[in-house]
Amino acid sequence: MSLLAIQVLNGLQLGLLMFLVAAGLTLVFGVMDFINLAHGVQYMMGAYLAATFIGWTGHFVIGLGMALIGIMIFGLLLERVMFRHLYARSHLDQVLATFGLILFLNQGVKMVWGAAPLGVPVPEWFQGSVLLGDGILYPVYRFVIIGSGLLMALVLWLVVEKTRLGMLVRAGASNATMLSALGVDVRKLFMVIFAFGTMLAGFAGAMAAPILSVEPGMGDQVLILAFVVIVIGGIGSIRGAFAGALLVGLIDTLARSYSVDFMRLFVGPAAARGIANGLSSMFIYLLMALVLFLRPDGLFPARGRT
Amino acid sequence: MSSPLIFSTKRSSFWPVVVLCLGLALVPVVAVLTKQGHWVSLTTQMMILALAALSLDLILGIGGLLSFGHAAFIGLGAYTTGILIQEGKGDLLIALPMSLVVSGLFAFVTGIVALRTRGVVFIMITLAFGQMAYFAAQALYAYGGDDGLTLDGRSTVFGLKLLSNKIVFYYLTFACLAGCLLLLQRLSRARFGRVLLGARDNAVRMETLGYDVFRVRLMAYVLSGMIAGLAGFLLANHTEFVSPAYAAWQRSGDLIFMVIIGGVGSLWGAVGGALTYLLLEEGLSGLTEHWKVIFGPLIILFVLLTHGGIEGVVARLRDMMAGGRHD
Amino acid sequence: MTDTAAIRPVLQIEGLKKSFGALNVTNGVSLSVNPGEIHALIGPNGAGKTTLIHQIAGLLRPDAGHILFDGRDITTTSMPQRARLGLARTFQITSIVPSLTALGNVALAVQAGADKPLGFWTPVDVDDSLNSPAQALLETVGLGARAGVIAGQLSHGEKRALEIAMALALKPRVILLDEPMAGMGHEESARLTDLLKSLKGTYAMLLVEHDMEAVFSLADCVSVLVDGHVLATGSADMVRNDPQVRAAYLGDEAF
Repeated sequence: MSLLAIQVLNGLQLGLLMFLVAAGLTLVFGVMDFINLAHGVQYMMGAYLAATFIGWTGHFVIGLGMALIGIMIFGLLLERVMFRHLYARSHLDQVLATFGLILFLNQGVKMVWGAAPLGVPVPEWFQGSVLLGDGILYPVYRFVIIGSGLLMALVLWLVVEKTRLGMLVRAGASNATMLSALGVDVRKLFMVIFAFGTMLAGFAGAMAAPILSVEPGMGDQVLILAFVVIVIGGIGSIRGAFAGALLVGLIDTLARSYSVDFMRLFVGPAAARGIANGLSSMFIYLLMALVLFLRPDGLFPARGRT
Repeated sequence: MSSPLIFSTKRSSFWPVVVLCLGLALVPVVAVLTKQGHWVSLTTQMMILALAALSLDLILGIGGLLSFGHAAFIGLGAYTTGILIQEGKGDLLIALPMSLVVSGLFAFVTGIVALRTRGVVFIMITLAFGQMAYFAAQALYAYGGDDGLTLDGRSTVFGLKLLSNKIVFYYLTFACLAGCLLLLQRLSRARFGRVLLGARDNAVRMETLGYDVFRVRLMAYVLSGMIAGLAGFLLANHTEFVSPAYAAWQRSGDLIFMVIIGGVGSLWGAVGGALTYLLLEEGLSGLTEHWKVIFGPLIILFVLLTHGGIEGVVARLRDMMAGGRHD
Repeated sequence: MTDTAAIRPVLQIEGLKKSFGALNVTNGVSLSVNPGEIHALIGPNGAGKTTLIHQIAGLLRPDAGHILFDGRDITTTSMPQRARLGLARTFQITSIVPSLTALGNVALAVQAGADKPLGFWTPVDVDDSLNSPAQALLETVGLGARAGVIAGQLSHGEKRALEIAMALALKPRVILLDEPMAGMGHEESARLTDLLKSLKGTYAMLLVEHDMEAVFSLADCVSVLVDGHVLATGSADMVRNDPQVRAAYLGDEAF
């Protein structure tokens, strides 16, 4: 029972991190119809910048803040130099160019920081664990991740639902051509959405840095999971991304832990972990296939399709 | 020009194919004469990649379906072959058809789901299915799991170890590539190909003409998956090694690059694309171990600098080379 | 054509309903098209004409009601299936395969009805069993000399004519024409009107059109669609003089 509680918390935490990545991705897709494969490397860059700045300053919050500013500048730079020229292009061009960017950044990170994983210490304030009854301890920092993820989700929800900017974003997700007809400066709107999305992904990477190893290519798997999340949730829908992310986070975590137990009945622990790792990853894709089969537009479609 | 031109997207590419095939047929002869044995192996690898790129070009170039999980089919073909070889059933007569069946089945099942979607969602779903195959390969703990599996040897032919000879293997690969080129060349100009092309341009129109677009695309998708599976069969035999990396998504990205650089929809261009990719890889990795730091920006520049889309530029270049006007 | 009671309609629509959210776009439409007749459907913009055509062609599924084709219920039949039964259509916004030639487009339509619509081996560009009928159809619609032109490069009027040739290639029983004259100059419209007149009798047509001159010179029967329902049905003269129609739709328009 208490094991289940821990797994659910872990799933929640993974789901919220996924949500932060998927939120930016789904908005960029929904509003700009731009397929950005490099969204995952922005998550990676967030983690690397956090690792670096926290190392320099020796202070988690200051380092995190610097990392967020850094990733935002980085995102805006990319938007100006590269992405802006891709909005009007075919998906094929977008896919290929952002694929090239992934190759470059994954390798570039390796050149600058080395191939070995970096460790980021858990900040002092958040060290230690919370007693969850039955003598089960759960690390404070993971609660911090859950809390900050929920906070970000709340902020995002408020921005999208309650502000003029959010109204434009929602309008854009359901009908992008309408925006320019309304006289909105689409270019500026794209830039804002893009910077915001990058910042969210970078924030997720930075927050994950102390509990994951920071290494080249760490964004690739996250990117693909984020794809699954927004396909399940419905492209362009923040609500969908939230539901999809939690679903994916929980199922991935639970499937992983239970399939390890299940496989242990048949094979040794190392083998069980290897097999379970593959199997649980497959679960997610099966879930996606099922959702798509039943609802091709996802759970919460944003587009008013007929 | 007495017969009206039906396809506007490409000119007759009969002669380039013939020249290409003749050239490839002569590679081992030249290599043996000049004692450059490694050319045979390198060209074999190039042809296997070309076969995979060719299979992608069928659905991407003619069908307009951007699959980002195409490496999965290679992985499936390779693993089917690898596992059969390890289990002592690796004869060509078993391993080859089984590779085709497995990759074809995977294409059929995933195609039923993926082809219900279009655009960005199709790209993401094929990517996700590709990852599924990748993780399935990782989960094959008995066959090396994450690390992959070194095979005991190559497939036999009627129990004979013919394929261990790299010249024989070269010509087998060559025959597969030439056969598939011919097949797809004919197919793209036949009724089936025209319907596939029509669906790329205007799917609703094709349905109001009475075509079952989903079925046609599914057929193309399965055929494409099987050809990629064939490439997987050859790859496993060529390297005598299988690894989840064969099905990794970066591989799928590489395949897209090959198709595009060779010219989308130009089938022999897939061969040129594979060759370009290998030359770039060889050349750049000779410069630095971090060759992808150069390769990545090259891709980006290529996309950004080719205004009006890559297809447009390739078509323009081809028109220029053919001495034709462009309007 | 006066005694319609003896003729069984080839296309019959009964109580068709379709709504998008709270908006009832099609609100209980019933009408029928007899063999060889042109039935025109007119109405102000937003009356739900195109939505109705989409439902008849199978692009949209109605919420309620029935569509009968030759007495057979096709309400839930798929779009390709309907086309194969003999229900062809043209689109309000030109819908062709732009990268094929004009001939290629029509040949593609001929191919849909061929014995083997999906051959894998024989090249199509030398296939006379497709290209001869296609060329003949192009002649019919006046595009004989433009066969080799890439369809995307044809003029607007030529594309509309090409669409009609594609519809004819299906050897249809009924053709749904969604504003075939839209965006055409006077001369082009007149030419298309003549073409449709020559096809009348051979094919039954449901014609959605704003060009009243064309409608009144072509139609055997006119229905007026307003706010998703049929306000009046009858001969051109009857409809023209119906006070309700004049009030609701025609207004001050000159005629």
